[in-house]
Amino acid sequence: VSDPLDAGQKRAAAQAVVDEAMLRRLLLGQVSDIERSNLEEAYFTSVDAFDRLIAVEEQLADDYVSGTLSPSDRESFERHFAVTPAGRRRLRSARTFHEALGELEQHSPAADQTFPQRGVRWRTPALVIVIIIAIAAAAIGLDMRRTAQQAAQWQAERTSLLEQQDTLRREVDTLRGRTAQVADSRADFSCTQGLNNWYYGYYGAPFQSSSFRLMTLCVDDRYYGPGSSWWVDPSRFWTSIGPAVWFPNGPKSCGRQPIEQWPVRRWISEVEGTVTASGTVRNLLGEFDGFIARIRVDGKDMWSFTVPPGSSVTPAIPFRATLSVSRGAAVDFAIQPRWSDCNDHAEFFITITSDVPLQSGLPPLP
Amino acid sequence: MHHQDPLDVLLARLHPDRARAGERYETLRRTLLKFFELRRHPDADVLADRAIDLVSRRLADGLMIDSIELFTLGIARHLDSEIRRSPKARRAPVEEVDALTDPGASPEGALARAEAERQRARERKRMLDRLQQLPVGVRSLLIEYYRGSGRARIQRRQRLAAERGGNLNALRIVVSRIRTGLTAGLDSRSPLDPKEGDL
Repeated sequence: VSDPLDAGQKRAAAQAVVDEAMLRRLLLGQVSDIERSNLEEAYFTSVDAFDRLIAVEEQLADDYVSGTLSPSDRESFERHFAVTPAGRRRLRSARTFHEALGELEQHSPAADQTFPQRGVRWRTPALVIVIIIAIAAAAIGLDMRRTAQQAAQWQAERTSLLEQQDTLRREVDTLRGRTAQVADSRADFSCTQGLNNWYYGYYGAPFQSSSFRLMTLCVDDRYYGPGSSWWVDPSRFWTSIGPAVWFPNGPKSCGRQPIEQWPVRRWISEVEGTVTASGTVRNLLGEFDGFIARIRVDGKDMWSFTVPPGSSVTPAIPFRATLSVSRGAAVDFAIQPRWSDCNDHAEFFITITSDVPLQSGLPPLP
Repeated sequence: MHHQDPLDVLLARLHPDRARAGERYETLRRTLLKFFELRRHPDADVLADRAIDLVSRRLADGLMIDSIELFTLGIARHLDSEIRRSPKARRAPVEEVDALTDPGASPEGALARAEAERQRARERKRMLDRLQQLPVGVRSLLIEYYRGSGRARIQRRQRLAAERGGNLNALRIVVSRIRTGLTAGLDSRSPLDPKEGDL
């Protein structure tokens, strides 16, 4: 593909036509075909031009929301910008952003008193102290320069205190357990090994992490209702895992070969640090001898609970285990039969959460 | 015969380093989205992906071009004109503006309006949470940037830009990028968002 102008020349020519007024006219549908063509070439070939376009678009949406557009611009805006789902989403975002920012501002002290404010707010004792000092100084005839220096000092201290307050708030948020969910055994269930970092397998003897084997069969079956579940071999073993229900195979088996196998859901950690595994476990049929739910990290036993036998459905027992994991650690959730696998109809739900820093995706400050 | 995945070919042409190529790909897709939005296509994201697919296939066929961006723009224009010519497009008008400033006046039922209000409240809460989680300096910048109105606001922005050693245009872009980060996915749920009962 050849072109009389090379890409660099085109870029330079297109850049020349980009200014804020022109971008605004583009967004309002007020440009000629040639102007539009030039602007398109500009924002396709220059990230800066594209950023400017987005900034002007935001300004336009702000002006529309705040009612400061002229009647003719308002009409153009509604005809050209607000007619598409994306345009309407942006308008809603602009409105939401300013409402939230206004609310935030009400709880933040004014950082600059030079310009007219949306409302004078006496919200921090430090600010009040600054004003009191200023008034007192004037009253006793102190030198104004000295007062200003003092006020500046108080202002600096106030800023420092606010920063400390913010740091403390973040720490409190962390302590309150502001966590992110990283895995959910039921929601993440699939017939694809490794999807969402989950692997479906089992332990054979000697029932250690190294004896983990993947299941190879994922089929619809009558034990779990609609949907699929993983099996080792349904004709020989009960060992299986569904979205909610698990079956171990016992050394004494009700109708299958008497070989002990523990169904194991293995989650491979993508995070490093402390994660919390929580959920519920219960026996959906009861009777006989119950089973043991276990959690292991890289082969090390971290938690276990014996679900006792019952005459019918046992209550759902909540659990919570704090686990220290490295990136790539294998976290195994297993159901161990006690002796008989009869009625070992285990329901085991697991959610994994992690303390993670907020990914704001924000650019660095200039 | 070995056929290379067209997307891999596109990425390789965008940049030899896969991470940088991914960034350029994202930029190209955002630009296409904007192009189709500005041409008032209600399904801009579908068209953006279609344009990228067409570009990738042409590159995989061995086409040599000077500028991927300008070539993509050409493909996008071609798609746009094709759609405008099709009878289907003429039968499918974009949504009309329905009471943008007064959602309560829309002809939707009371139930739908109540749900829309709840959704707005959820989004406002999410936005407030995101603002509160910003670093202090960024949050202060936003508050200062949008404080006041008219001439006072312009003067304030000029002062903010000068304090940061840049011009007003650079500051505007910085703030715009912050806003883009804040509003991304605002209408979908995140694990960090408040639960229904929190509102």
